[in-house]
Amino acid sequence: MAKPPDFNPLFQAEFTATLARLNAELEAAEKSVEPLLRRTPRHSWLSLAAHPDLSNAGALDRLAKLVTEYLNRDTTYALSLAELAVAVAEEMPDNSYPKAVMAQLRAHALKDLGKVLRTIARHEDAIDALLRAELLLEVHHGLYQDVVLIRLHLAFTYQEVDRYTEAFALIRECKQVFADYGDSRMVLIAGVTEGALLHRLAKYREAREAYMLLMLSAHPDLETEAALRKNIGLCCIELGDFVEAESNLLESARLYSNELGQPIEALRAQTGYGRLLIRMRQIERGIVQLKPIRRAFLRQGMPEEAGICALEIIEGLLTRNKPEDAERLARMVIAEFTRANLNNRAITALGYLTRAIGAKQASAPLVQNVREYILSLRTNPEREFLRRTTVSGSESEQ
Amino acid sequence: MKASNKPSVDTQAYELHFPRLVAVATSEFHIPKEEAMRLVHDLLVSSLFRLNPPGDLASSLDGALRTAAQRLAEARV
Repeated sequence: MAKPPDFNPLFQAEFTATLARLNAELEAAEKSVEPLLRRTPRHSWLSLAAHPDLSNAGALDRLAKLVTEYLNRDTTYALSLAELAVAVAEEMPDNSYPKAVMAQLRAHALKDLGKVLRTIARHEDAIDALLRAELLLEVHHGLYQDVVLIRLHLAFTYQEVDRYTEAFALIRECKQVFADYGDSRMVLIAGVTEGALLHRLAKYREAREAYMLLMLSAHPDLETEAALRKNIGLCCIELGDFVEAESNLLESARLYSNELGQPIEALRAQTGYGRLLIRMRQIERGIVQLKPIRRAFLRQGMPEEAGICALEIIEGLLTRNKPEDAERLARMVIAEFTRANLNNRAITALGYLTRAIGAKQASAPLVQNVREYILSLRTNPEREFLRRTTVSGSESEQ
Repeated sequence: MKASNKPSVDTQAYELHFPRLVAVATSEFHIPKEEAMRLVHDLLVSSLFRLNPPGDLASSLDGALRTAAQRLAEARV
């Protein structure tokens, strides 16, 4: 076949050689990386930075996959893997691959390190790693797709240190660029992130709009649809749109339970439905709905989720003017959290709530505040508890 | 690189997209031909090493070229 007029044999040869080399490295890395890690004590991994089995793009790809695999299972192990990947990428001679590719490899290793550091709440270190990654890529005009991926991770991290304005700006930029690149999966991820941030900032109307837009335009898969419906339902509760809340929460629970086989997520959606019933002042129904969910979480060894569920019940009990029952339940949750060695800050906030209930000074907004605070500790375990008080119908933070 | 452990661009894709993108770069973005060829080649090579391959390679490469051309133009100002 005749080559097109713009064909360049040297470029073509370089591309073919790079492709062949990469395929060979990927194949070799599948066999060599993990055995090498197993043979080497973890505290000595950094001494492997220049090891020939690791100094290539295939091994870095393997390490990146291992980081992802271990991120939610063993963060210490994931951190060691990510630190090793950064060391390997930095040790590789600059001429190992074309310049842009070297920048990509180093930046992606730093991005993975940033991801792990964010997961273990070392947010400032995570930001530092991600900014270093961004800097490596910025000089290469063809790597903007990689730049925006790093920026999305920066946005995730900025949220955790309350840098919301920067987070929003980055998310919106990323969403636009992903759309320009026709990357619908990343548009969806950026959109969900934007909705979640609005949700977290209690901008329920805007959050619901963001989620609904994604439902209509982003062709979410079933799992994303279930998550979007749960979030739309939760926003609708706060907006007093109980009819929409009910249909979305029930559909979310059904999808998780019947279509996706994710019983824990189904329980979370059902907890949302319990919250809806409490807010609709169908207190008894709400409590009847929530009690078995709480027991199910406890049976699953998930005391924090059970505690969140208990706080929904406590809100109902306070609304029903049963402070003694509410206080008893709050004390049980403190005991469960203490036994499970959960974050002391959560226990302190629960203690504050329990005392407020005992002093007849607790209200539904205070319970909601404690619940949101405990949830926020998952991503920011050092966050301080800000006690909100209701002053003439408006909330202020102390 | 993608989850299947195979790069998302192959030689066929290179042969298909290289001339098309060079034509867009020169005609639409007024990038000199030699520079356009280098830029498009770099885009295709770097797409080999991307962790999350796009759903649609052609759209992704078009977007990459558009942004690269914009950044190139900004750098020249």
